[in-house]
Amino acid sequence: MTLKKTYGLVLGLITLAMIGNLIYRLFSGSPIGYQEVILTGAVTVGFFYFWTWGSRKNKDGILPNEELGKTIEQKSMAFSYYPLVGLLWIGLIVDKTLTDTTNITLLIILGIALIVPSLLSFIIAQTYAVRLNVIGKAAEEVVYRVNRIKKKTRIRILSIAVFLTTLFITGPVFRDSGNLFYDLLVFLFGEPSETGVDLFPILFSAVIILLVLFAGHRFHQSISDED
Amino acid sequence: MHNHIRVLREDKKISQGKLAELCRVSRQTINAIENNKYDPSLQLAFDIAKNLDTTIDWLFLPKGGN
Repeated sequence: MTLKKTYGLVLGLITLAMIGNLIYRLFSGSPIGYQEVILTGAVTVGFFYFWTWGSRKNKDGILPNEELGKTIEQKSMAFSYYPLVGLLWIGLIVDKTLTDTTNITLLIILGIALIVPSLLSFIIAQTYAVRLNVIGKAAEEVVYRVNRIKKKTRIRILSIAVFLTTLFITGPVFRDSGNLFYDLLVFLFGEPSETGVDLFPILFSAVIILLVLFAGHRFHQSISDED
Repeated sequence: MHNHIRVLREDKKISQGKLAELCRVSRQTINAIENNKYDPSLQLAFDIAKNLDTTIDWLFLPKGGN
């Protein structure tokens, strides 16, 4: 078995264990905090990312930044939109049926989700107009400025976002230590919620951080190879 | 869209991997194009044609075309 397959298998087992843990907690009535949900989501994304994309160096799969990779991403994003909107509808209906209340936040999100595609279509259509109007010019300016931001800067911004997300996810592990790491988290995000990540020890968090670093390295590798 | 990539590639004894490397895409992309699962962009079509020493109009055929 190759190193990649072994790594992928371990990652798959971790993902399954975490999803199983979430389902168990859900049905046993144990509290589920947002850290667990985000952490499970992050690991699942990592699992699928690992098995979907290859690297140019290893020549082991489709690259995310080549045109077939971009087509796959565009298709998957377009397909995933409708189930997500459907889930929002279901969430609202379930909420109304079970508690006889309307979740305003969910309702606003659903409203935005319904409007955004047609709004974006309108704006993008303006950029293809024979004579550009104000909206078309503004949209083109935005695209031009985004493209001008160098790839390395984008990677740096992404790295900072990943680092902060990792801190946010793993923060509750250090809750009782009161060290600098914890103080930094409180400074950045405020006090963590009451439902901590009690089933995830420090070692597990270390694995997650390593996974995030590995995914970041592969992403950086695939971007760098393009230059 | 149909194409003659496989015929020409094998004629020139170039592997899918080598052609992919020359066009700076993955082998899976070349395989998908050869099997008519994916229509390449105009730029990639030009790159493939250039690396196989031919022209786009010979390499690619529209659906229903001869």
